[in-house]
Amino acid sequence: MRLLQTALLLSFLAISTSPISAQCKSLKTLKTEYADIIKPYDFEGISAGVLGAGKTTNISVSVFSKVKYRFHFYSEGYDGPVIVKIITLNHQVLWTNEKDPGNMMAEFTPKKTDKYFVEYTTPSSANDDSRGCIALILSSRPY
Amino acid sequence: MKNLIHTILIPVIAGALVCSCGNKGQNTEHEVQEVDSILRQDTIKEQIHQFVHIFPSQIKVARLFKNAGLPYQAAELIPVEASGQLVEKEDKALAMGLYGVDMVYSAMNNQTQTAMGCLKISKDLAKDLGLEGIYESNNYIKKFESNLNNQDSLELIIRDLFAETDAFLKDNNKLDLTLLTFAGGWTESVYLASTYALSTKNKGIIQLIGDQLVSLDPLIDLLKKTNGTAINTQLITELNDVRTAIIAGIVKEETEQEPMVIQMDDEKIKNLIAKLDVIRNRISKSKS
Repeated sequence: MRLLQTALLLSFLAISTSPISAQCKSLKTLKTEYADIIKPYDFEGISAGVLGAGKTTNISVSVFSKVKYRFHFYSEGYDGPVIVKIITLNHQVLWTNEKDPGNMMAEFTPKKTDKYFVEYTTPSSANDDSRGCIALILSSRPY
Repeated sequence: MKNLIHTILIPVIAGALVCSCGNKGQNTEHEVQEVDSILRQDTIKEQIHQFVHIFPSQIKVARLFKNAGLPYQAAELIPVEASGQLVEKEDKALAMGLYGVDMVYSAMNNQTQTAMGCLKISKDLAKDLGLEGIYESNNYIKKFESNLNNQDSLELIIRDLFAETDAFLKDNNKLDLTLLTFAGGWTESVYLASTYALSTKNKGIIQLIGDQLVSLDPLIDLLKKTNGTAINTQLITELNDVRTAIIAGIVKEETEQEPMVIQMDDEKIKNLIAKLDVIRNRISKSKS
């Protein structure tokens, strides 16, 4: 009986936590879902991953001057809003949704070719093991 | 209910037991912690692979160079026959990037048959790398053939092909191939621009060559972080040489508000081309 209980618990863990794709949509799926949302901009690049609650991570992007960019931020599976910041190499915050957490899109035309960091901070959860998915969908305007 | 247990629960339990490979003597709590720890490690590994850098689309880089005045230079493209001699997976990935950019330049300049040739080479290389599904599920060859007279459509098809390839590689944790493919495309873009800059001293093109450092630096950093093969290690050295050659042209460092200023005389451009040639020769020299 004890073995069965252990096995059931292990099987539950294996199912609920091991396939990361179950928590995070594939990039191909996200790309398809955002195909119309990004219009009239063109798809530029995408990155996504699983991130625990109450954690911070960032995705960096190369941007060129005189190109219009749209940053679409995606999150799923958290107890509250995900705070996003766009930061330069010199730690200057160019944009944040701190005061408007529902805003999940930023628009930019960089003055110079640069590297930006998109920082995601996920809300804390009562469950230490709580995890969700974050993604950045980058698009740029036809030139 | 019995059937349910037999068909669903027992295989799941058996699978979990096989996967857990736990010591029978350990207690339940310990077993759970052990498995959870392994799963967490996998998750962390996954994060490192996924939260990386979004590189610029090669089609946009090509468009920026074209808008700055870069014309079509048929003689500078990688020879078609070179692809057939490649053996190593890393070289094939690098070649996929090189031919990808040649395809973009050809399509943008209405050299559609050359572009079509590059697309077919890319498909063959993709097949060798286990990526043929991208081409087949989206019918890119057929779509391309049907739109040979429509440059805008060709660009859209190539853009989608690049995006699908990028998503597929990342979805399947093939970061090494992503980086090598980008390295190939980056090298070819800067090479084509540099050969033109040598003959024209076009300031806009030279400035754009300098701008490409914005993706070269993260490329080198990420290549260093992947489990490097001998080919990767050599490539990192070669890309660093290219980086040094570009940096030699910086006459004013960038500030928070202002971009850097770059100027390159004949000697500096020739040196840059020589460094880029080292990388391109891995592919183009394979024909001889």
